[in-house]
Amino acid sequence: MKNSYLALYLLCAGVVGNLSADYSDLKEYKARKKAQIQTEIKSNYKLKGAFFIIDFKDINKMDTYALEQRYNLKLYQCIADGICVFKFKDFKKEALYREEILKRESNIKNIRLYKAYDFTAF
Amino acid sequence: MHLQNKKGSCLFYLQLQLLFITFALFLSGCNIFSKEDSSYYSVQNSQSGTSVSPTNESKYFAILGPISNGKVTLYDVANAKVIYTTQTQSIGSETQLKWGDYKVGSFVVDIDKDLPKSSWVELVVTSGEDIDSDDNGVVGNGVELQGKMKLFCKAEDFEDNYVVANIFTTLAVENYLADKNQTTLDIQSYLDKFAQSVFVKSVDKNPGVDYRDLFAYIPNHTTNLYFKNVKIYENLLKYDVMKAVLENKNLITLLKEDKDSDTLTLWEEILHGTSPQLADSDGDGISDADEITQGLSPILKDSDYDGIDDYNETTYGTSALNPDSDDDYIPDGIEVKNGTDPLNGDEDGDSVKDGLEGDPFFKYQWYIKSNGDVVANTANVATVVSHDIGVLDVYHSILGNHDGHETVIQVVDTGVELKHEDLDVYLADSFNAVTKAQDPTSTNEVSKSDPKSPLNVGHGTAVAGIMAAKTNNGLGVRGIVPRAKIAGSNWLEEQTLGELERVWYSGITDDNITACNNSWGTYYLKDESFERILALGVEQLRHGRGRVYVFAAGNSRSAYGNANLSYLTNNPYSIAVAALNSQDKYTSYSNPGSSILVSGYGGEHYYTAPTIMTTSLSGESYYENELGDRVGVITVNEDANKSYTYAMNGTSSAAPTVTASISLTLDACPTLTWRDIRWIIAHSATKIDSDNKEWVTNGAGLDFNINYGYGKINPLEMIRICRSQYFELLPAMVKEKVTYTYDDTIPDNNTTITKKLSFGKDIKIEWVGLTLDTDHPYCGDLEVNIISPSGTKINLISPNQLSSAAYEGGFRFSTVGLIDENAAGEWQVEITDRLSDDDGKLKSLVLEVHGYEK
Repeated sequence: MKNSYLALYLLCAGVVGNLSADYSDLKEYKARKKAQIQTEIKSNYKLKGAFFIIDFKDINKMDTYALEQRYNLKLYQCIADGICVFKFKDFKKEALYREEILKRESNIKNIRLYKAYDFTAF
Repeated sequence: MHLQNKKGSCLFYLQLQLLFITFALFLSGCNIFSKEDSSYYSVQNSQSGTSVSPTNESKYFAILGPISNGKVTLYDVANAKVIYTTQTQSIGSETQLKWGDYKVGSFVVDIDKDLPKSSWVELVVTSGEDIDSDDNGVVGNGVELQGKMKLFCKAEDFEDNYVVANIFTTLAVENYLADKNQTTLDIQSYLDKFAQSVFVKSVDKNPGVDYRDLFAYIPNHTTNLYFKNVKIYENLLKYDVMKAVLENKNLITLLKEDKDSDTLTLWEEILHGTSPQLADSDGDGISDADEITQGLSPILKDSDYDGIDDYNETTYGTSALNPDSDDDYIPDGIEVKNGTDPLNGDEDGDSVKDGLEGDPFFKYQWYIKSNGDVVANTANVATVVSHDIGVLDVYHSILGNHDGHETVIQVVDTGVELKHEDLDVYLADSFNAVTKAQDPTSTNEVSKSDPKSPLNVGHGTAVAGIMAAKTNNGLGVRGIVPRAKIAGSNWLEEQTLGELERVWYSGITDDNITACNNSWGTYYLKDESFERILALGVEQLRHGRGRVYVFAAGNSRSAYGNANLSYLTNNPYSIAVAALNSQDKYTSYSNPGSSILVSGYGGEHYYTAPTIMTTSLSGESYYENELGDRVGVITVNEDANKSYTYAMNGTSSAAPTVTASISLTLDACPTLTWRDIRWIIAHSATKIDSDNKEWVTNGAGLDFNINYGYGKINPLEMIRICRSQYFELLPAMVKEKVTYTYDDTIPDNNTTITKKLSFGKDIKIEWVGLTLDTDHPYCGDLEVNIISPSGTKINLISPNQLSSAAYEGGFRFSTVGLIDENAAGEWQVEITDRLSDDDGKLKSLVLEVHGYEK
């Protein structure tokens, strides 16, 4: 075990040693990454159910009750000034919902599916 | 730079605002009460100079207070002749420096080109009108200047500095003139000594004060930023000293008054901040004069902060000047309260100081107390450790629940084990995000087949122990804040924004929670939701002073991670923390990043270098001989119940050393805001690894490094600063941003493109954000640097493993490395594509500055 720790440490130290060099290991990493079809950033999210999180442009003009009525949403919780979570009914139509709401509501900056994050302890 | 006018003489454009707020002279070595003023040049030589109008090319300026239409005369001291006379300008005239919102009092000085730069110049202002006699920044009814204001400076000071004529400088001149036949000092030495005698009362450290600091025109604004005593400022106004100058009254008589018969003159009362109307300003039963004579504070009932008033110290036989009379790391007041002897530091006679015993594994906690000890782990890999966070001396006056307040530190993590023998979990402020109950114990099961599992599940328990493990209880380890309680949460087991909002802000609102530790994160995060919640917490919690949110910078150095790639650790409200090893250098894993404020101890890797001893899940740790070749949560063999670990590390460990230090500081100075904490950390952190090439000295003279922030956390110095009677809370925050749009290619060939951004608002910087919008399809290629108007260059991001258009739509980087610099001026942004194969276009840059107006 001691040796494996040491090897890991030396590996890390070696990588760190290259930080100020020519980025050769990053170039290799990039080459490998480009060879893969999937180059997306690792997702930080896990789906949490049929909830939207809506980000309003102007908190003074936001009307959560009107939104509930218009789109059959139910306010679940407001998280910060201008950020609220709504439950919606039909998960299969979430893309349509989002498109329609964004199109018709000028005071909405962004609508995302409400998901759990995937942070790790450091 | 000198500008030649048509006459061939050197033109200096001086903006003079006569300031009637700062009246400074000090008693020792400076006889201010000896003589009426005498302008000896005017008697010998009445030659007049020529008025010169300011030009747009004028470069040099001085400031006086807000005196409009004042007569200004400059004398050559050596040759005793008039150099020049002119008038200060009227309200609204063009100047570069302002009084409140007004530009007033500027004038141009035409100094003969033959006057050497080192020549001493005396400047005298007579007549004119003080357009803000109550110095509130608002122009009101004018008051005629009937007295004289004076100043000594060198000719070169007009080029190099703000030259400010005020009461400080006036008295310096008068004293020199009065003493010049008796003193053996040359004029500069005399003025330096005078300045030091004044400012030693203002800054209580740093002997680097010189005569130029007399040019202070408001507290915090001197050449060297030494003047911090807002009370002098206030009292000069309050006791009509400035009014006396305006009315040409006898200042000497005024300043010698002793209305409260405490034997202190008005001037002494002003310098000490005591009341001229009260003989015992702090009401502790000892007169102001006696307190000063004894070295006590005449404005604090408890001069040594030990919980016992000065007068009552004699009752217990303790020292009013030493908070811990028996030097046992327990404040006298705590000992009296607990019934222990404040005069016996080793009551059980075991040769261990009372305050440092009772925690059997404390000997392994080198990060709290090293003293050059040999630290050996179970495999006897020994390292001499001579570095720690220097917190022990804090315990002479602060243990964590001073003045009757509970100190609660929040841990948002995988949970905190409620039943742990060495932790004091405060249920009322705890929250289980999974069960929705108060018990913050992790809900995840520990795997019996994976010996790493106890630390994965018990991560929060380990973090909590670093900060607040119980002390002197005969068990385990000790926390950095010995008497704190933990408000735990297992939010990492749930991870929705809704529950985080409850934990960070709306659900756990106890104002006794000083700080919140967050030892978690991710490689990349672009999501403003988190900072929107944090904004509420810093604005509203802790009686509006703000809970302080601390974050680990991340452990991805080997993958080119950077704290600036996550909005958790680069937003305006977070304090990001890097990790140090036992040799005071950054660890092999600790992310760099210009958003990092400070460093704490994270330790390296078990078996290679010292790691962190702390609490772990009860009964779940392993002895080394049980693990064989497996990696696991190791504890020492003395840990019979296997409830601790000596293998904790990571920026997860570093963050709580900082959170705990902040909590101690807030115990000492509870009125500090979250912004004050950031400012104090920047001014108190210890510079380490000084040979590291990435240290930069910013335009305010502060050393910053993307690997360390401002250096190693220094709780003792933080408390020293905040307890200084001259420390001032930061003014209200202002925010300003500028946006520039582009359609420029970022070349794929290591060629740097540089963009210049003009920023107009004159703000003292606390935080700077730069949002970069580019459609570059492989953002890991890019290096971005920012250069402030002061010329400080800071690397915002280097090439990394981001393999997509991660900056598209705008990604914000930030830095806290420019604290105290001035934001106004031209900024530069350098963008370079360091790797090959991809290129993109720069779409926009948004520069955002948070700080305060000067």
